[in-house]
Amino acid sequence: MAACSVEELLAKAEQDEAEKLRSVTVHKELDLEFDVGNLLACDKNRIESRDLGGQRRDDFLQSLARDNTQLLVNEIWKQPTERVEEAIVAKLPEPTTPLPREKPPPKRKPPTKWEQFAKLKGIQKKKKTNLVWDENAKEWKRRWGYQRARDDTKDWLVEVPETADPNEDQFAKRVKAKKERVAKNELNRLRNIARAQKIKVPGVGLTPVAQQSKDDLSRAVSVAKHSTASVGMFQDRLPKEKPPKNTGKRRKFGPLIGDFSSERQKQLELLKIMDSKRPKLDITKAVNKQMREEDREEAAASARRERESLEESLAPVCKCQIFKMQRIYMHSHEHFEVFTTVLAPQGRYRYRAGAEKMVVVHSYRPHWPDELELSLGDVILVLSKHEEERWFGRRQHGQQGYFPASCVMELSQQKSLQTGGVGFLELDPDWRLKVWMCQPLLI
Amino acid sequence: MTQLDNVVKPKSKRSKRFLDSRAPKLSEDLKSAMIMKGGNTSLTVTQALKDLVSHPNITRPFEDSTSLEFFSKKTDSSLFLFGSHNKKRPNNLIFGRLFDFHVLDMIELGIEKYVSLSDIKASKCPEGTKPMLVFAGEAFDIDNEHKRLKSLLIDFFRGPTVPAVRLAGLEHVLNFTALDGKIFMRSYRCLLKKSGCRTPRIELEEIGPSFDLVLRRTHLASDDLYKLAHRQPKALKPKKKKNISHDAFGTKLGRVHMQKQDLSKLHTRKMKGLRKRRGAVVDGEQDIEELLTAL
Repeated sequence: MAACSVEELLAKAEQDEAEKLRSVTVHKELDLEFDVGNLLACDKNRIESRDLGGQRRDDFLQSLARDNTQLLVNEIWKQPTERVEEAIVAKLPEPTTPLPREKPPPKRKPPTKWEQFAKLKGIQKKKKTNLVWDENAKEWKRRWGYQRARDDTKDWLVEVPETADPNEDQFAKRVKAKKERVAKNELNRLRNIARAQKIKVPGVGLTPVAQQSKDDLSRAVSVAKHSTASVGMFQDRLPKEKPPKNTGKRRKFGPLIGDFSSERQKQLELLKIMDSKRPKLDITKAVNKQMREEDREEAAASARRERESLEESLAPVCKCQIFKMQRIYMHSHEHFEVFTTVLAPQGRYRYRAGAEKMVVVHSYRPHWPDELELSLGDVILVLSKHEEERWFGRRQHGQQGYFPASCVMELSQQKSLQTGGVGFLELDPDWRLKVWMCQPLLI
Repeated sequence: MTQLDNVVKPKSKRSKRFLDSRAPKLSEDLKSAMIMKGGNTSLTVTQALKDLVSHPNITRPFEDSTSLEFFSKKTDSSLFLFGSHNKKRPNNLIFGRLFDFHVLDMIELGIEKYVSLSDIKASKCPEGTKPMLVFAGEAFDIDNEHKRLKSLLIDFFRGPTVPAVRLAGLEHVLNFTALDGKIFMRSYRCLLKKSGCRTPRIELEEIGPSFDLVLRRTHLASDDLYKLAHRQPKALKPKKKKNISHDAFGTKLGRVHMQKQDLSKLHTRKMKGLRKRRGAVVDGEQDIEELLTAL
């Protein structure tokens, strides 16, 4: 009986074991392909397509999945294991399935100028500490960067060296030197990048800045235009392109002592100009320029303010007789006289409370440095009348100074000068003065 | 203006780290995926997307992929999953991947049957476990489109590449079966049961979403682009050690190259017993002389 039971037991034990072994083995026609690195199993066996409805199909899928997973797990368990912090961990090999990359592999950068030099000289990179002991501050400071240890621009006391100019600002010199170092560093960095990408670094001022202003761009354009074989002589301009503004003649600072003949030439020419009786100033040009300027100022300033009030009172087609005008005698040329008129609009506002516009009726040469030179026909804005006879005012150009009150006359005065007929005056709608040449008139 | 304009110099260490993480690297880590909804998405699709894991305003990846590429550049992700729904293509999912921020592959799958996570009542796996992937069906080997789809799904679902995996933590299994022209995706939790030997017996329990997908349109990359995308940098290839060979017995043999040596001056091991003794030499000479004189 015992023997039977023992045999039985043994048989049973054997059976159990066989079952267990079977339970982890799965029979497949074709072996699966495993990629243990990715925990992947691919089953290539043909699946008989049976007409399975929902639940049965799911069951079929589940059983298939179970089989395949079992095989995968068997494969994983074959890997070498180790114990890491109370957990058994299997070391996975590298994944074998080829998968596309995310980005193309990085290109190797060519060595920078320093790297080439270091390689040539055999200079090794030494690891330096981040912090350095700063004696003055008695603490550990960074070797480089914000609030670094040896920042010579932050010294409060700088000894002036023997050989230096006493008027030189040593602090500014240090700051400037630092700026130059930074700029040089930046340029070298860009040169390294340019060498890496095989492009050229543009000249000074054209390296990239965060926000490029209009003149940076225009400078870049002009540099680009000049960089041709004929130095930009034959470059066509685009239809709407404006001519470049920066093309001015550069002054040549020649050597002081050198070419004696040319120096002599220059000095003689200078003397000749000084000696000649020719007027230094082209009168017509100067006068016209002055008039234009005055026109502009007058028109811009007064037109805006007075237009509202005047438009009521004035007809759009302006004729002279509506206005009260005064003719002012301006410059006299040899052959003819130039007249200009100034409007005296009604009800105009002052620019400043109390400030009056006056017209110079007598020229005045200043006796004192703070006085203003007056020429006939100027319009002066009288800013203050501190004294009875001496007033402070401003000319159109902005010059300010004192002058005697008798030289000027109020603009808004109603009385007209004893002049001849006005006649040839016209006003265009935006109140620009029109000058007409007249015969000399008696005043 | 110049190409140098595109060079951005990072002003702080943080920005430098950010730029470095986005730069192409020798060996790449985990790819990140964008999951997006199209203009009109049905409940099914939305649920499906949620289960799998955004705002971008992309209308039709198949027609115009520029906005897709822009978003991938912004989020630095190379995989995307786009869900949409319209009358012509109901319950659409587009799986895609990008190479260098240009579309490499796009495969459109239609959801025929979908059971969501919440519908299946079972205990779930913790998130973040690396799943085991099982592909079944000969279609995945034979048909070109299915092959690409397989590669795409591996890319999507594989998780980070780890050097070692905890044996007890192998819980999640994703099963893809290609059958009758359809692809069945099932997600199981595997229970490791005791068995007689070291390897445990696996029992599966269904968790997770299950999809019945049908393959619709595909936009696959050309062969040369595909090859280009697979190009690995040389640095990653294991360096072959020269001069080492193995003979039939498995012993490692190597060859050492020496300069010319004067063999008489070689310093070998000195064995005392082999040293010539003075007496013996003298005797020998004497013997020879005797012989000569005798003759």
